[in-house]
Amino acid sequence: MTTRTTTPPQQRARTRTGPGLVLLAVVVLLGIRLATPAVGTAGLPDVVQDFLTLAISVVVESLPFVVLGIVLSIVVEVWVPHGALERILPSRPMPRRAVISLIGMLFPVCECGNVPLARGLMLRGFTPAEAVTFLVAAPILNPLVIVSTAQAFGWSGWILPVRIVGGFVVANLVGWIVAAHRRPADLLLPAFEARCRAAIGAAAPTNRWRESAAQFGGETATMMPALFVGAGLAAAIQVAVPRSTLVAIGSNPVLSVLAMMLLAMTVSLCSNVDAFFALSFASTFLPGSITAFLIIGPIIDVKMIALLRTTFRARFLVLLAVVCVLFALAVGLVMNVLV
Amino acid sequence: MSSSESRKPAYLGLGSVLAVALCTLWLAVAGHLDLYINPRYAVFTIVLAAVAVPASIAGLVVVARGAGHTHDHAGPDDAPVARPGGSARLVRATLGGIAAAITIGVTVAMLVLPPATLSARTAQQRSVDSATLSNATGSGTVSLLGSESVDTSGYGVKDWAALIRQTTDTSSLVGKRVTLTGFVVPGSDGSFTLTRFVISCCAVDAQPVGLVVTTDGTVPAENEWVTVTGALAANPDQSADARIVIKAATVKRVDQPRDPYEY
Repeated sequence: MTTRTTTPPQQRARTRTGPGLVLLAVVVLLGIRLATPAVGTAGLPDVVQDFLTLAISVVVESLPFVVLGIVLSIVVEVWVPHGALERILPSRPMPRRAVISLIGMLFPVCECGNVPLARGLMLRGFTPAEAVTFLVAAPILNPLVIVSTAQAFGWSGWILPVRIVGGFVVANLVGWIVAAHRRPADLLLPAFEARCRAAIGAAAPTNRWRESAAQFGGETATMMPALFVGAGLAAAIQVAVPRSTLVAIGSNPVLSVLAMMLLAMTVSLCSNVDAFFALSFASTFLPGSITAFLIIGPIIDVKMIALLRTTFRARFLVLLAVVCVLFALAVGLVMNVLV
Repeated sequence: MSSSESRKPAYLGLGSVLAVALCTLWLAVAGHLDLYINPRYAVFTIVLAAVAVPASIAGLVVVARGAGHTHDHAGPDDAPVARPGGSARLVRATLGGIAAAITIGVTVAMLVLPPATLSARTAQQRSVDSATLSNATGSGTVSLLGSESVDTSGYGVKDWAALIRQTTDTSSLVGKRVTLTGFVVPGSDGSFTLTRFVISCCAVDAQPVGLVVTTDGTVPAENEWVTVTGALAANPDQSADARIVIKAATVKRVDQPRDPYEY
């Protein structure tokens, strides 16, 4: 895997060995699972066992969202007729990005599904600025997230409206900055950028089902290792850093915003469910700190960094982190002072 | 590069999705999915795991037919690109190898090792009962207590811990009979903390809650599951954080409950 393959499809040999071995391995593993005790401990040290439990729980929790994101990105890339999306969007860049930031209302993907879907949008010919606007907005501006936040904090109060408006503003801010970049394509990994260029203007696939299955293989190849690395990082931080040190500074208006943002970035929860977690801190942390948690968590955390690295260069991640951290910090501080 | 090399990332991706999805379905059938996630999300998780199984098998079939990707792309976009400079390439290849090892390692661990709950070590590290948990995840009923008419028989560790924290005049609680099950986090001599984890979405966010138990008998070992019967009493140790403790009449060792978490 040192070079990108240039083998044309027809020259590739059919092979049953590789896929056969993969299936065999999965069947054997599943057999072991069925044959061994259902629950219990394997005699591992607590640290190792807890690390594995935490990492697996992140994977189990995130996988459905990643699969949903990949399926929706296949729908966007392979099944939605060319021009159908593009026709309904405004043509001027700023209103266009504003509408794109609301696509999440139709495609409810949270922060794990938004990366594959943003990739699908770029493969359809969306600019990086537009895809990034979607990427940042979708995990906040989507019906599932709004409903779960409302369930946790209620429709009244400032937390829900500030989260929604804040998500919209920061997404369009990031999109605007990327659009103003001298050459936005430089923010993408070269291999992905080349793939976008190849995909745009390519003939429609002859067999859509086959194309969809191939796409599923390509996207999982990219996303799964990133998901596992992100889950491993999140679990390792949880095992190594005592949470009490973060929580101890809950009542200081400035430090508590920083503490909650740091917590959001290390816990790496899905935005669909993070509101319930934040609720458990509502008694000790100020509302501005909770809101900063709810804005930054869906955009940047250790799992997201691993997922974003599949598509973007490090310089984009730095830009994204700086803009979003400063924005969430400002919102949190203003809220802590005013509310 | 041989074409089997270029297929490896697809094998890894599809194989791990298939393995995790099948294991998720097994966990759901065996009733252990709640070891990892809140039951609230069980249906969603099961449905998408059921979608992932045929999708990843279809992906493997397409790879087997030799088509790979029609955009001539079988590998991830962060796969190393051929460049004259060798060191950057080596670093990326190494990172890719580490990512693959983590993917395989966690997937195998998930299927080979029995699923387990979090241990007392994590409970201590997340500071049991550090007053971070409000009346949390949904149950608003605990604040009603105080009057005799409220039925407390269904109260769990979380409910009692929240109640004790919210009650200003704790003398009204003294003498209440409780029977609670949890695991043991050892405390100072003659006492331990009866602990449960509260899960709002998945095990990563688990928040330990607990009640201090004083007993005249022997303190059970760390991580052991016990059912404590006793009455609430003022903490004899005035300097301690916990104002109210359970004075245990009996401490009985039990098996770990089917669902070890509270919600």
